[in-house]
This record gives sequence, C-alpha cells and structure tokens, in this order.
Amino acid sequence: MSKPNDDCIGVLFLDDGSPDRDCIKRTLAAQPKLKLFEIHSLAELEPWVKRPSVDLVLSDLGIWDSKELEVLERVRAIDSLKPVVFITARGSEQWAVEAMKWGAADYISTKTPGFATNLCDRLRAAAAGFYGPHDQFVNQSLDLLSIAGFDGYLKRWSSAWQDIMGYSYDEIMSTSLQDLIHPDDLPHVQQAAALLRTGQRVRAVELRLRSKDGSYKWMLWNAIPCVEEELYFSAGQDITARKLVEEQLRESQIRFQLIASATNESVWDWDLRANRLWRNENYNRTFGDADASNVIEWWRQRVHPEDIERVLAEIPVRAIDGQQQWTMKYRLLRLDGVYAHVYDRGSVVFDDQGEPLRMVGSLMDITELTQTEEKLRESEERFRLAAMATHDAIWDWDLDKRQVWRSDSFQTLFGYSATDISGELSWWMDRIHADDRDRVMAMIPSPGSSDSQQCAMEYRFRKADGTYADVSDRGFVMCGPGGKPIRMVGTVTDVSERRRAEELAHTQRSEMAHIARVSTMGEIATGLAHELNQPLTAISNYAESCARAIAAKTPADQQKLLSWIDKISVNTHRAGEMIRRLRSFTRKTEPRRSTVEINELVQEVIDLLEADTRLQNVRLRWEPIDSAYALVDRIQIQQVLVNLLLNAYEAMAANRPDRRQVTIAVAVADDKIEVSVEDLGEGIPVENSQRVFEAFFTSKPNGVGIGLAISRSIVEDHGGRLWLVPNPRQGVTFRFTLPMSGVQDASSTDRFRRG
Amino acid sequence: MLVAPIVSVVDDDEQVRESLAALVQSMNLDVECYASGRDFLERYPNDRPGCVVLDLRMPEISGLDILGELADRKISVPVIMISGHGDISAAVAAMKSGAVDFLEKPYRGAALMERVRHAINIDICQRQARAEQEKLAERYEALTADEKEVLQLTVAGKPDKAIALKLDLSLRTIQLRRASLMRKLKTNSRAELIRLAHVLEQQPV
Repeated sequence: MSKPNDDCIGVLFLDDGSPDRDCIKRTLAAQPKLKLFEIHSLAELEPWVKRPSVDLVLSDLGIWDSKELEVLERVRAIDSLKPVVFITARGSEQWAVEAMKWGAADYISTKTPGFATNLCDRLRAAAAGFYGPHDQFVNQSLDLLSIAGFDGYLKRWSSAWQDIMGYSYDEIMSTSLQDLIHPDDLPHVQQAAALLRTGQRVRAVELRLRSKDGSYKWMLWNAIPCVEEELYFSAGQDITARKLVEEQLRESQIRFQLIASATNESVWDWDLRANRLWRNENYNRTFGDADASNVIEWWRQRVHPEDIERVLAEIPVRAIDGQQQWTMKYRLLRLDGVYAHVYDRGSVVFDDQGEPLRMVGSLMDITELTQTEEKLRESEERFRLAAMATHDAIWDWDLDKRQVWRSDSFQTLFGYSATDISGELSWWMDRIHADDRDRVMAMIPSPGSSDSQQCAMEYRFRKADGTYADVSDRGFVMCGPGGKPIRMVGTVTDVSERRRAEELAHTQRSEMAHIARVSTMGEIATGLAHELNQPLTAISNYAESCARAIAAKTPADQQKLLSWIDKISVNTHRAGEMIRRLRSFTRKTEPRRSTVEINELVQEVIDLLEADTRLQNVRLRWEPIDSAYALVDRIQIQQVLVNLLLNAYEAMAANRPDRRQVTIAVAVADDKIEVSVEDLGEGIPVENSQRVFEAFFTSKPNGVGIGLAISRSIVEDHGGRLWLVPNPRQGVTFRFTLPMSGVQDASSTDRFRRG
Repeated sequence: MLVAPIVSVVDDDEQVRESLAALVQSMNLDVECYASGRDFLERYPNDRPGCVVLDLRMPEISGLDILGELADRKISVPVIMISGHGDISAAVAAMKSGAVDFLEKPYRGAALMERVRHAINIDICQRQARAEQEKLAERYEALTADEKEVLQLTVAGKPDKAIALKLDLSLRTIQLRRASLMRKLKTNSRAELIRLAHVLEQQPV
C-alpha cells in the first residue's frame, strides 16, 4: 500500500506455467497502470528486454530452460540497467541473499501470506530504483488494514486479512464487507457507515466478522473516510481474546455478587474519595438504605448513644503505626427499630500520605448470641431453648469436671444421633482432623491464664458419615469468683459452603493470572527467541574452533582447546536456564505459598527479561539487600514484577536511550517486604492513577488492560497492597508489599491461612 | 605492500563475540572485537584489508544503521551480517543496504568462515584496484594539457593523421607527444593505454 505511481510501467513476465502463476497474473492484470508482456522461455528474452516499453523483468528463480538466477545474467548481458525482480514459491532466505547479491532489484516470496496485495507497488518501486519499506510494515501489522469503497468492497488490504480471517485473495475481492458482518452488529455498523459517507471519522466500533472457517472474530474498528474518492481507510484490531477474558471476568464478578448476597453477614465497601458506598443486599435488608450524600452521619445516628464514643475512638482515621484494621462490638439500629448487637470487622486502605482512601468491612448480627450469653447467666432452661433455636452448635465445657455439654444442633449439623454424642472432651478431639489437631489444642486458653478470655479457630471436624466439615469455632472463658476460669462456652458454625465459594473464587483468580502470564509471554517471546540463539551461536562457533584446532594438530593449543570446550558447556547451560525460566513462568500450577528469598525472586525476573531490557536499551538498577524471606506464590509475584517492569519499559519507549532507566528497590519494614519499581517514563495523569488498576483500562495501543488489575488482585490475595506514586520530576513508582515469612525453610501447608 | 588481513567482529553479546574471535583465530587470522555499534564507529581504523562480521540487532545502533554510516563515510569494507532471527525481509533489507552476505544465527561455523574468506578476497581485490587507480591518477596529473588532449583523442580511436589535422600540428609532433605520455603513464602498448584510460574514467569509490 505504498504511494501509487502515476506512470504506467511495463512488466516482462517469464511465465513457466506453474500453478501460482495464474494468481500472480490475475493480480497484475487487475492493475490499471501496469502493462504485462508474457514470454515462456529464456530463448525469447533478448528482443523483449531491448524494448523500451519493458521497465522490468519478473521471473521465477529459474524457469524450465534455465538454471537458478541465470535470468539475471542473461538480462544483464542484454541491458545491464534493466531491473530484475524474482517471484518464487521456492522462497528461502539463502536464495533471497544470493539473488540480491547478484543484483536483483527485489525478491518476493509467494509463500509469504498476502504477497499479492502489495506486489504491484513493489514492482513500481523496483522499476523506479526505489524501494520503500512501507509495504513490509503494513503487511507485518497484526491489524486488518484496508482501503475500502463506500460500495462495501475492499480495494486494498494488508496480509492480516488473509492470515487472520483465512480468506483467499479472490474471496476478498468478490465479497462485500456487509456479508461478513454478524447480523446483530449490522445496525450499528450501518450507522457508522452513514457517518463515513458524511466525511466523519469512526472510532472504536466493536463488531464481529465472519472468518473463513465460519467462526466470528471480534474486531475493534477505526476508519477515516475520503469522501471525494468514495473510499475509507480502516484498521481493525482482533480483540477476540480480550472479549473472552472480559466474559470470564464478568462471570467472576457475578460470582462475587452471589457470594456477597448469600452470606448472612452485612458487607460494605466505602470509597471515601468518591464518597461511594456499596453494600450487599443483606445490609440494606437489615439496616436500611443509607443516604449516600452523608454516609457517616447516617451511620452515627444509628449507633447506640451509649456506644458511639467508644466506637469512634476505635476506628483508625490515619495510618498510625500500621493500624489499619479494627474489630469491635456495638449496638446498631436495625430497620425493624431494634438495636442489634453487631460484631464489626473492617479495614481502612490508606494512600501513601496516610490519608484514608477506602474502608471495607462486614457486620455480623450477634444479637442472638449476645442475648444467649445474658440469658445463660439467668436460666439454664432458657439457654437450652435459645440453643435449639440457632443453627450453630453450642458447647459448654466445665473445666473442673472435664465434662462438655453439647447442644442438639451437633446432631443436625454433623449427622450424629443423640446416643453418638458423648460428654467427654476426647469425643470432640478425636473428630478434629489429624492435621489440625495440634494447632487447635495450642489455641485453647490454658486454665489459670486470665489474659486470653476468647478464642476463635477454624478446623476440620469429622461428621457421622466420615466426611469432614470446615467449621468455625468461637469460645470464651467464664470466670468464677476470684477470677478463676471455671468453664468455656462457645459456638461451632459449619462454614464448608462459604469456604468452597472462597476456594472457587481463588481458583478463578489463579486461572486468570495464568491467562495473563501466557499473554505476557507473547510480549517477550521475540526477545527470548533472539536471546536463545546467542548461546547456540557461541556453541557452534566454539565447536568449529575446536574442530579446526584438532585438525591442525597443534598440541601447544591444548589449554585453549579445553577452555573452548568449557565455554561450550557454559553456553549450553545458559540456553538451558533460559528454557527453564520460560517454562516455570508459564507453567500452570496450583497456587502454592512457600517461603521465598526476595533477592532470588527479583534476580530471576531480571534474568527472564534480560533480552527485553537489553534490546530496549533500558538501564536496570538494582541493589540486593540482606536476605529476607516472603511467604508468597513465587510465580505469581514474579508475574507482578514482570508486569510492572514491562509497563515501565513501554512508558519509556519514547525516551532518549540514556533516559531509559528503571530502579528496583526492596525494603523491609516491620513484618512486610516492600518492592518498588521506579521509571522515568511519560507518567500517569492524576485522574488515571486509580483507573489504571481497573480491568480493561489501558493506554497501550495493543494492551488488553488486565496486567495491573491482575497484579493488584494477586498482591491483595497475598494480604499486601499495590499502589502508585508519581515521581517528583518524571515517571511513576509502583510499590507493593508482601507478607514476611517467619520461617526460613519450611513451606506452609496451613490451608486456613491460604487465600 | 603485504598487510595481514583483519576480521572485525561487532556483537553486543559477549559470549557470541568471544566465540567468533576464537573461530577467527582458529583460521590464523587477526581479529578485533567491538562490543557495540558506537564502539565500532569510533574505533574502526579501516587501515588493513579484511571484513566485518556484524550483528543485525543491537541496542542503540543497529547493524543496518552501521551499514548506512559506513556508506556515508565512503568506507567500502565488505560486511557479513548475522542475525538472531532472520527472515526473508530482514535478509533483503540487509543486502539492499550493502551487506555482502547474510547469515541467520545459529549458522554452521564452517559456512561463516567460508564467507569470511571470500569477503577478505573481495576487499583485497578492491584495495588493489583502488591503489592502482590512485597511482594512475597521479601519473595522469603529471601529463601536460597537450598530452592529455592527445591521450583523449587516441583513446577515442582516432588515427594519428586525424589527430594531427584536428590539432593543426605535424604528425611527428603527435607521435612525440604520445611517446612522452606513454612513458609517463609507464605503458608501452596502445592496447594497454586504452585499458588504463578506462580505469581512469572510473571515479574513485
């Protein structure tokens, strides 16, 4: 699709009758400013080459009565200035090199998809002694580039049309675009076409095109019209893969909504900056709709007057000494006019200046439990009634007599009959999963220690049918006169369902992370392929050197020979390492937390991106710190770092090479490890500094926009956070935190700490 | 003048660069390594016959950039391009920019060495031709204006009589002048004279 040339050119075509000739001839014949002469053997060559109307000779490498490249010599002997262009299906790099070496003006491989689209322009360039790199550029584009008429037919198109859509040249020529568009998309495409006719640009139209195999591909379409010529220029980007991911994310969000609405707890999420409050159905049902314009006042008015001061004092309003979470109990006015006892757990997200950005939390209505506690002191009988009314199983452990009373709910919840249940402590202990037992025992407050009045734990409990239920067990110690603990009372809730839903969401996230990793790998594959060829080349060079030295039989060089052989093994190892890194990064594994040395993790990422770093002229600065261990999923955290680095590289692509610098810094503070990636890129406008973390928000022309969204969800999944800070002068710094591992070698298998 | 040829290796990858050096040394040829395009353009002396083995894809200054810069500086050393991921279009672009050869990594060591030898031969021939031409040009400059005129007409194939008539001089004078110019150009046959004139016509590269 280079600039058309006004002069008519004459092409002498050596036709040897091979099948792909027909297609070439049709293409040439369809061109208005091109005159075609045909001959069928070299013997006819001379008079034709001498004709002034023949501007160039187009031939296969060798036709039936000649050797390869003989055409070139013959033409040169007749007229040394007449350009010769080779067109062949026997395209190999070596023949291309040879032909160019011997003076061919161009070399066109018919094996290159879409070669026909720019054939004529290349011939014009060859005839003019000029060759524009334009066409290759257009044909290497992954987008569907085209010039189409208002009549709906394509006039020119890039080879992506053939590669992606699978149509042949003739099919594209003879098919109206309208016939390829998905019927559901026709109305808005026709609106866009109407705009084009009035001379207006059309941007970002999403539509589906039918490909050769009958499947539809999603395209993101941009077009600029040229009304006088009744033409428009258009570019379509294949976004089928992105649509698929969008669909999956939507399902994942729906799933979250379902979980949120299925829970008995009241869940809320308050964006302080936008003053936007989201609450699940249960919240609104129980406590009523908040006035969105003044959320804090709404809530303050509903907290019991006796509790309000204590409660306000407990909420962290600034990030002082890392306090970001609270749990408290207070009374809150329900929609039915009764003050409910609620157990409020929440956390605050702060920005880097320590200002609160967002508060998230859940309210559990513990009115029943609280009432039960009160009544327990008054009447054993009323307690029994209350215990029967609740779904949770209740237990009462007499520490002196070492006997346990259990509510009837143990029967309904776990399938035991009344006679199965014994009052011995061992009955309960025997039914705790063997892997959890020691941990549970360690958490029970020992008699005499008065500091731990409450305990909450989660473990697996065996049901009558032999399967295990995930349970949440909360108990507290009751003290007799003199502060001596006399009994413990608590409730057991079956949380298996909730746990399953959580694990499902967790699996979904890890699937998404894998998809994103594979797509990232696509971005760096070119660099890696180039990188892998380097050690292979070195090995080949050393092997040849050794062979030569041995053949020359010069024993004095034995030392040198040994060093070459050693270099062969060094480079073999280097190539193997590249493949191992690549494999481990794209491998689909169950997410697994283990203790990882942070410097090692960073170094592996730097090695993985070595080729990209070098080829993009980026100076990567990193100083390892003293060993520090994080409890993380190694691959997922590497993915986060790869993402941040690739973003940084891309942001600096327009910089002068000496201004492409990325600094990785690792710092340890309290029980967290903080990693930062600082670039000198174009920066991120303030209004986008939060939006970049949203899925499908992207500023890259080819980006899907899930990198940062997935990175954030991975980091938050690890209990850390990921945020960005604009640099004072240029670029931005992304920071994320990771939990430190207390243990340095054992990997954690505690399933309840996962997720 | 017998100067040993030298092979210049330009590759940013240390392992590739050193292995190429080993390979060249195993042929008993001298080698000089350059770690970047900038390093090469700053240091390359072009004072000995040889060839350049050049990596296509390097940071900052690519192999194609270097070919362009060499052409600008009118340095005609033969360049063999090597590339980590060659395809037909990259090969065609390199050849169009003046490379004498193009090899995709990894190649067979023997193949590269054969090309290196060939490229060195090209350079030696080129340098000899240039030296001859320069010498000839020097001698040509020593001719008087009259002698140059006679040379031109002789090479154009005019018989002596026609030259004498055209310059309005005697036949004897023409013959003396040609004897003198042939002495100065160190040649003793008319055929040789015509060949030298053709060499002179070609502009120095």
